[in-house]
Amino acid sequence: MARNGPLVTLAAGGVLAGGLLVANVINTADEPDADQAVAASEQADAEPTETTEPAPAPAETDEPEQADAETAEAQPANNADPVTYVGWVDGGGTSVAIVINGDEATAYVCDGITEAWLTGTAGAGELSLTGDDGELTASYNENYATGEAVVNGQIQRFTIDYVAPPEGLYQVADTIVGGAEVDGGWIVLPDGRQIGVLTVGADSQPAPELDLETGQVTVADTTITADRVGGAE
Amino acid sequence: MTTENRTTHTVPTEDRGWQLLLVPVAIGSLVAFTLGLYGGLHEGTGVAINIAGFADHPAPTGAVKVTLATGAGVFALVQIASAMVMYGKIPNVSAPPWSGSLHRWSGRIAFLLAVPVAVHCLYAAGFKAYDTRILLHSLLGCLFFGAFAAKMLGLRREGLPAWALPVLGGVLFTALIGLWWTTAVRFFGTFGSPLPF
Repeated sequence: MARNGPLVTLAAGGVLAGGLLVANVINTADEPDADQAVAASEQADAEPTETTEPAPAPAETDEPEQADAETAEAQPANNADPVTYVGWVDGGGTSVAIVINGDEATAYVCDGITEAWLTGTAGAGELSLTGDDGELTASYNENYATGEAVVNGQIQRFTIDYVAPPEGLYQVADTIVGGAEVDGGWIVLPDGRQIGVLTVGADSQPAPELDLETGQVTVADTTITADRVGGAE
Repeated sequence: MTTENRTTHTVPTEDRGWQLLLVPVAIGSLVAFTLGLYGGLHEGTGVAINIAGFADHPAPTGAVKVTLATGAGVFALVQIASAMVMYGKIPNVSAPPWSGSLHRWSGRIAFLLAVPVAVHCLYAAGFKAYDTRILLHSLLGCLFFGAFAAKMLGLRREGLPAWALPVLGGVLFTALIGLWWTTAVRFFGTFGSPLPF
């Protein structure tokens, strides 16, 4: 009888694993999953955008505007310079970054496992962004942005703070040796935490830590460089 | 064949005992391979059911996983300690009668704590190799459950070589600590304690 103890243990583990797996399958089948259901029901009127392409970084780091970048810190409402807000949604779990560059804005919503890039227009302290995985509306001033993101069917309110480099939103889109497409986004928070997702080929993973000095990250033994959305300085 | 040998005593037990491990190790290898294959073929969903609680934590799913994994690690330490006592490796400590029960139950708890973590990994992420840390984690995850199956099946066999269970147990402990080290430690670095207090 005692000899069957190990078998019972194995069976218990198997039953637990099987149960969780079934629960997972049922659960993810029930929930309107990111890509199709939500996109279809909530975004019928959204602008068609590329599914896999993250929003492009609006500014090169070496543009002449760089000279004025320091004044942007004092006057983020000035439309001439990109401004960045980052922070957590209410209740935590998901981080949000918004970069406003003139009358265009980019937002990235990420919990380290799932991500959404949203783009749209900004002006007069209001912005409205859409993407394949959701939408985001917010109002903003020189200190913070506050609003609501609907991503993958979840409504999340947030109030996030204006930040200066190196905090902010980083992005990479590259092709590494072997031909794998690499897409990544990182939100660098004021306390130094980085929340991001890196997609290599078809595989999405929590993003490895970005070196904020160089913007570099190593993917599959290849070093790639991420850009700070809105410029590095 | 084996039974014949045993009854006729034509071969000393020490010399053939390792053969008793062949089937358990083969099945364990199959388990490890199957997990790796499933993890590799199954497209990671990126999400899975939230196991429970920790809603206020900035990374709730990770917090649950790290907490379970750390719990498994603590029970794994109990495993090592109780095994050392049972094998008389600690001077001046003789194994109390309950050390066997302690070893069995701490092992069961450690295993059952690790299962939900592994299911989440397999379902939401899968077998990945995009950097050394993740490759190591994927390999160790497959190894752990394969070695566990081999040990459970091996335990049912009479006449195993003396080294068999310590080696399997050592592999399990090493794999579990390696799994914890390759992920939970990073989580602590990013988020601090997984507990909401």
